[in-house]
Amino acid sequence: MNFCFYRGVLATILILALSHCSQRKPIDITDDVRDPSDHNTSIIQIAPMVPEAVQILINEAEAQIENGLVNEAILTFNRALSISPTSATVHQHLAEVYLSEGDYKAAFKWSNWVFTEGPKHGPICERARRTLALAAEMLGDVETQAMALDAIASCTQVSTPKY
Amino acid sequence: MCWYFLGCCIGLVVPWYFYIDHVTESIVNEQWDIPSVVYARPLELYQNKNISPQALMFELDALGYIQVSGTPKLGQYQKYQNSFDIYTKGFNFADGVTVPKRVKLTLSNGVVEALSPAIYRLEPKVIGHFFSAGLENRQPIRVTEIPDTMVQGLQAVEDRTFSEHHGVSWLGILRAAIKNMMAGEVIQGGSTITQQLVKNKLQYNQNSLLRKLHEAFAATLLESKLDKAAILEMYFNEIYWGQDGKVSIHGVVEAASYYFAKPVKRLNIADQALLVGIIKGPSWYNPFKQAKRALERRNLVLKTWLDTGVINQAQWQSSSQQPLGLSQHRRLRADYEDYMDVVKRQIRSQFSQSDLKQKGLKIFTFLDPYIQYKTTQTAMKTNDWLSSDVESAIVVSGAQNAELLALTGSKNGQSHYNRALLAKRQIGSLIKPLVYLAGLEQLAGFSFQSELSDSALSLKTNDGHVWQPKNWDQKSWGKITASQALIHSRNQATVGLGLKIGLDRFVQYLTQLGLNINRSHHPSLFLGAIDLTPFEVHHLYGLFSSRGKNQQVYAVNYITQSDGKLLSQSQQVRQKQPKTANIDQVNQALHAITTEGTAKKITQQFNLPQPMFGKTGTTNKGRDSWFSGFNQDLLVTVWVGRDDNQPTPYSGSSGALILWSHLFMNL
Repeated sequence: MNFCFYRGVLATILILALSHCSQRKPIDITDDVRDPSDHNTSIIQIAPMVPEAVQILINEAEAQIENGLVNEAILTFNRALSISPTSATVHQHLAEVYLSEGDYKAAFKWSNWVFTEGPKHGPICERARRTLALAAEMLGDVETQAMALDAIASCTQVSTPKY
Repeated sequence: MCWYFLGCCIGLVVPWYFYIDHVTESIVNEQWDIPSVVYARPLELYQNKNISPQALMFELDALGYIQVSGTPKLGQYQKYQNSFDIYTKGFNFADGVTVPKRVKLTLSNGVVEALSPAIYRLEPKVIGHFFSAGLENRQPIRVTEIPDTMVQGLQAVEDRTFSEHHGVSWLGILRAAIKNMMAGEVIQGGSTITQQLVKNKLQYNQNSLLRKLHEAFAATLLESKLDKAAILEMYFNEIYWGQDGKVSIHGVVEAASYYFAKPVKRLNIADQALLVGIIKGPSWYNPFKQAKRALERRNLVLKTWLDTGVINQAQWQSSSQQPLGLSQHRRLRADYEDYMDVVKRQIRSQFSQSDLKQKGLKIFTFLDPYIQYKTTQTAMKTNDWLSSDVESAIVVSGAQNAELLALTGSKNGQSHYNRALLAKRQIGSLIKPLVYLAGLEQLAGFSFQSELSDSALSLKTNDGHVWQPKNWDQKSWGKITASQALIHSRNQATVGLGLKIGLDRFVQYLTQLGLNINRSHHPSLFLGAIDLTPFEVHHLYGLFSSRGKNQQVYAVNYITQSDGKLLSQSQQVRQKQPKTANIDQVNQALHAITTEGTAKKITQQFNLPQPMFGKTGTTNKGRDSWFSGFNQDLLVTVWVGRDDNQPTPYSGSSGALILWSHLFMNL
């Protein structure tokens, strides 16, 4: 009786512990994607030029996200994309919105575009690789996740030490 | 006897009461079918946007704006040289409200040079509806959203004792009867607003005494079930306001949109008076056909409003001197039917027909009215630029995004055969870029510098026949690079490459790109022996113009409920994505085709600005003439041929390319 009881308790604790291990903490775009990239120390920094109208729309969409209007923000980003269809900045914003909303396929698609077509150094470069890695992880695409994580380092060009 | 008479009365009156009660109950509980509305894309204005003065004026005209020489009021614009001052109307978009405001912009060399505010989007044009069987166009509105002058004014004209009676004005009936007797004919009706509402609902078309009794009794019962405000609201949403072709205009929202292209709350007093005035006889006072009569009626209404205190002297003076101010936007309506076919296709799997016809959904598309107009005009010129024997179809989308901007399936606006969507035709050499892309993706060591043999081939096919592909010039060039083979559209070299890839593997590759092919057992597939519609071809070339990003072109951007809540949004389906570097190699060849290959007319004859990219296609004896090409902004696919599939004198270069180039020159 006692043995059975303790076995039951042990199994329950084990399952709870394992299930906790397998649960990833919710993705926070600021903590998981943007903040680390903001500290990018590359000596080559590429900040893609954004037309004024597109920047206004990006700001508008960011405000909508802050107010919980995520669908509206996606539509606003799409307006920006209609104006500037190849803007890596807008693509990356869309990837991050979809990532935070749990649409990992869409996040993968948009961040993958920035990965292949976007800047090769600087914060946007790093954010795209972090987003791609997280989306790939959630989709169970370990190969892409590893590749994206490896590629984060390439966004930082360090200066050659002078002796 | 007395009891017999009483029994007869009860036997007639009681069933009659229950019948009328049932009728009024059904009026109270009736739910309207609200047709779904389809919108074009809103014109987005921002600094450095490419737009010509003609295109901007076209858009403003299509939206019902009126050009004025003085300071513009709502729904008007002023043009001075290349500067525009537009008083916009505003719109409730799913992502936020755009408020009406003065937008000032200056154009220079086809570009917005200065703009205040920094970005603004105009309201989108309505391009179609999904109607229920009754073909009634209606969008309901609350009575509180209708201007007070119009609500008061309606009562002043149609029923001055509306607030006092209980459905029937016996004094009004007596007054009308006396006037009619004195005139010897029916010149005045005594119906109250409630009676008119009942009449509209029940659709009586006989003027008998029994009908009048029905109407009076039902009106009295209705007043016991609804308050005055609810009756007025129902009236404004129900009443018939005219006819737009086969579609009847019901309700003040659609009437304001149809006659003035304005939301109800933006109607000025003169507009309101005209609408109230024409209720009496929408055909008789049709302002589009009987402008003088409608103007007189409007001014009579304004005078009545002045006499009854609805408006003051100053309002009367300024309103009665205004022209009718009708919108002229209606004349472009027919241009959108072919595009609407695509919209229907793309949403039919998401929404039922009944939802579309009853729930008042709002469908926002990517259609660009100006590009659609130019596309239609180009197709209509097929007879002039080519010949009257051939038909044409044209598809236009954004080159780098998946937005379908325009589509026309015929050179004749009256044709109901949408060739862009329905005509499955052999695509000829348009397949070749895909053969070379498959080579780059699937053959190790293959590049555009690889050598191919453009020489005679003799192949035994699965059905036992011998197939010997030839080049268009009946010559074989021998050893050439893959790049030269594509630029100069060499058949024998392309088949040679295709055989290296393998027919099955090529079909599999096309399937991965989203192109499903039913018949695939013959190597002539490498030369385009496959039937596709112009719309399907357009999707394939979207792959090249977007550098692999887009594989589907969408007409619908997003769909909302009637209250603006987002229901669905188009997103690219992720399929196999070719390597961008490989697409870039193919695109280099597509560019060379426009400078030195089969499409060099683009740069050498039409002098279109570079860079341009594209591929011609011609099938056996000119049965199909194709050109699909793009620059950094637009992708356009053109098909030319005969409906009976007979030969034509046109190649891709001498047929479809001509229409394509004219369209690009005129945009």
